[in-house]
Amino acid sequence: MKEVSSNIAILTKQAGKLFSRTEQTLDCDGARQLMSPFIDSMASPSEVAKLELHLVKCEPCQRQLQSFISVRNFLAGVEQPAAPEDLVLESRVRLSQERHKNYFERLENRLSNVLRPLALPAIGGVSLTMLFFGIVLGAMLSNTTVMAHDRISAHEERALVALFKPVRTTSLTMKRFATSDPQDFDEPLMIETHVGDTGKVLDYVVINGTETPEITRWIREQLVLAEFKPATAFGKPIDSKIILSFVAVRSL
Amino acid sequence: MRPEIAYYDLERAAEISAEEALFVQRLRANDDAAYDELVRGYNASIFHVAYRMLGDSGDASDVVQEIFLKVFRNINGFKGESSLKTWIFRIAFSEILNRLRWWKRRYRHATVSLDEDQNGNGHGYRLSDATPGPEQILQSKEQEQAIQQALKKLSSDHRSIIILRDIEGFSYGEIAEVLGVSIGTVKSRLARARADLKKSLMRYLSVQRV
Repeated sequence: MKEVSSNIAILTKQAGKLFSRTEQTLDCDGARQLMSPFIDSMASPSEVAKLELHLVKCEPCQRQLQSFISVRNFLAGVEQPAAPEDLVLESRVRLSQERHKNYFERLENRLSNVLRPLALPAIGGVSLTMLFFGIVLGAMLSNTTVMAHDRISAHEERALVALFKPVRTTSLTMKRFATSDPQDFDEPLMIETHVGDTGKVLDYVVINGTETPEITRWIREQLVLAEFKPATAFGKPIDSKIILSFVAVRSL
Repeated sequence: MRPEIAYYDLERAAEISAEEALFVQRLRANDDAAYDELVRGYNASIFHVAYRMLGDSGDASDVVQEIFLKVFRNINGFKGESSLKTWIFRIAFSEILNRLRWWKRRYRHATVSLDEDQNGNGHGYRLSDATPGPEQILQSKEQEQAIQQALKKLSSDHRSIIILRDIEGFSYGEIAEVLGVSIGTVKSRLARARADLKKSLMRYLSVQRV
């Protein structure tokens, strides 16, 4: 501090010499503004000259300057607190985590940007493919779409001819029907016969014709012995119905 | 920003050396060694500033880590218009002042302790003095507490100036860049801050005079 005081005294003497050479003066407020730059060597030569000139004649400002220098020296001499030992490690770990997290986010974003333009065509393609296969498989596997007893138009029949075959009588059964004619049919007889997938008759209904006990017995005898080629759907035998019509053929 | 362009921009900037430009380039390239170097180089000085500003070593440690994260997140925004050190301390002060504002809002009516433990036994960090005697330790602790108390009484603007200039030794130009003010403002604030500090530290200054 004594050294500082002697420095100020030297400066004051030098300023005294300058006093005669300059007419510029400084008030105490202005001098205090220049004190910090002065002690930090940040004041311009003209500011230094002005301040030194003022200090020659102003003892309170000399004391003020001295106190500023003391404050600066006091702060400059203070021990710096040591940072916690693990701070460097913690900082590096957190930074590393952030940097790698950021790296994965950037990678994810980049991948997403690449895939986004492909997403719509891909979804569209998959949807159309699934729709196509859904329709085809539905048509191939569904039993309810084509049945032997379904009534279908000629147009549809042409389309579905490859998908099913109707029930047919065998030639042996046809012969039996012909040879066992009761000869007393006065009117045509028409029956609807329910044929199982084994080709055997399961049930029948008389649609048209006189139903006498004799005729009923005859029908039952014939149908019990009758064999049919069952209807098929996609090659698989199924239940079906066939309408049989009998007429008596007499020579007149 | 593509690295080639960034490097070209940095080289054009007069304020940044080629060596520093290369270092920034490594940081932008997410180079592990560069980030280790960054932490080792700035950890202590940022901690000192944060501790002096906040008065608590725990808070200061948290802030230091946040500051490094911000440096990493914003390194692509570094244009080389100032030195890397100045740019980092600008981020540091922004973070520290945000923390102080948050602290004031949260604990407006609470008494602020300057890193004293519950028994009032002073700060919670070690002084880096090698082998001080008991008297020196006591004096050092007393002075340390006095400085922290005196800094606490200053406004955050004045405290920033004093810490950067008188404790960390920044030039006026660097302080102006870090705090985003003119050099004239730095000078006037420094004068007022020293005058205020003188009143708080009068006892120690008069002891020093003897």
